[in-house]
Amino acid sequence: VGYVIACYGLVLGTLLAYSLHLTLAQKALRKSLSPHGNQIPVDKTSRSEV
Amino acid sequence: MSDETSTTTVDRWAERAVLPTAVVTGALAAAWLWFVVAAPLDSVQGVVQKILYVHPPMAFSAYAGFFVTALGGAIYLWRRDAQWDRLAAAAAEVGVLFGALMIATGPIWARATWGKWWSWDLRLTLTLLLFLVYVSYLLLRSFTEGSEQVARFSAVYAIAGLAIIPLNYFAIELAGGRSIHPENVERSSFGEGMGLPFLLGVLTALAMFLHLLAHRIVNAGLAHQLAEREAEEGAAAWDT
Repeated sequence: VGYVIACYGLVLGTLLAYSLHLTLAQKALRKSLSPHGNQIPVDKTSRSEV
Repeated sequence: MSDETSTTTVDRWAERAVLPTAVVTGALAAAWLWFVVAAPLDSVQGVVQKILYVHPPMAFSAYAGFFVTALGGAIYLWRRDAQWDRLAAAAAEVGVLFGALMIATGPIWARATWGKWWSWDLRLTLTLLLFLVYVSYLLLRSFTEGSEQVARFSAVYAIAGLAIIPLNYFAIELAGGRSIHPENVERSSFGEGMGLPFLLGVLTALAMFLHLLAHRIVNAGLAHQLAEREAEEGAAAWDT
């Protein structure tokens, strides 16, 4: 059973960690881009309100 | 390279795909894990056989990643549009991740079944070679990012590397009975109640691949926009 748990844990843990890494990286990129203008369509609601 | 607007077709497609693919992946993963737990135990291998529901799906997603890398490279060579080069690089990264998981889960099953972690069997050796080809692709790009020449060379390299996939897939037949790796999975390979968790495993892995690919493309597009903006600001500061 240990081998099976190791396999599934490794796969699920790695994929979730990579997905989280991409989410955090995307947040940082959007933050870097945001003060300079409104070219990045992050929030369409607030843009239309403006 | 062609002129690009700040958001390209590939970026827009990826942006739209991130959330739906995440939802589909979550639903499939829940069903997959449920059926894996509920699946009957194999009479010969016992519980270790359940690794079959995760190892081949990792391989299929790795193949998909390497195929998209080559496809993106081919379209880049045809259109000379940098968005396709970014697609290829993103697919290579995600493909290598799935490749690493394929290579990690295989030896765990082998240790439990064969009693050893690794064998220099034709299938295993070609799998390792395929993985290293695309790791090298990423290394090449990381050392020499940005030039059109690198994008062209990377595209040709990715297309050439693809030739290993059919060789790898048919390695067991090519080895002519000398391979210790189990034969490729077919419909008849499964006992009752074992086909569905395997199918769900493949679908979950492919959905996860699409989700991570879309996410990675969005990030690459944003990084590209940031680099463009910094270059423009640098040029403006230089002029003043």
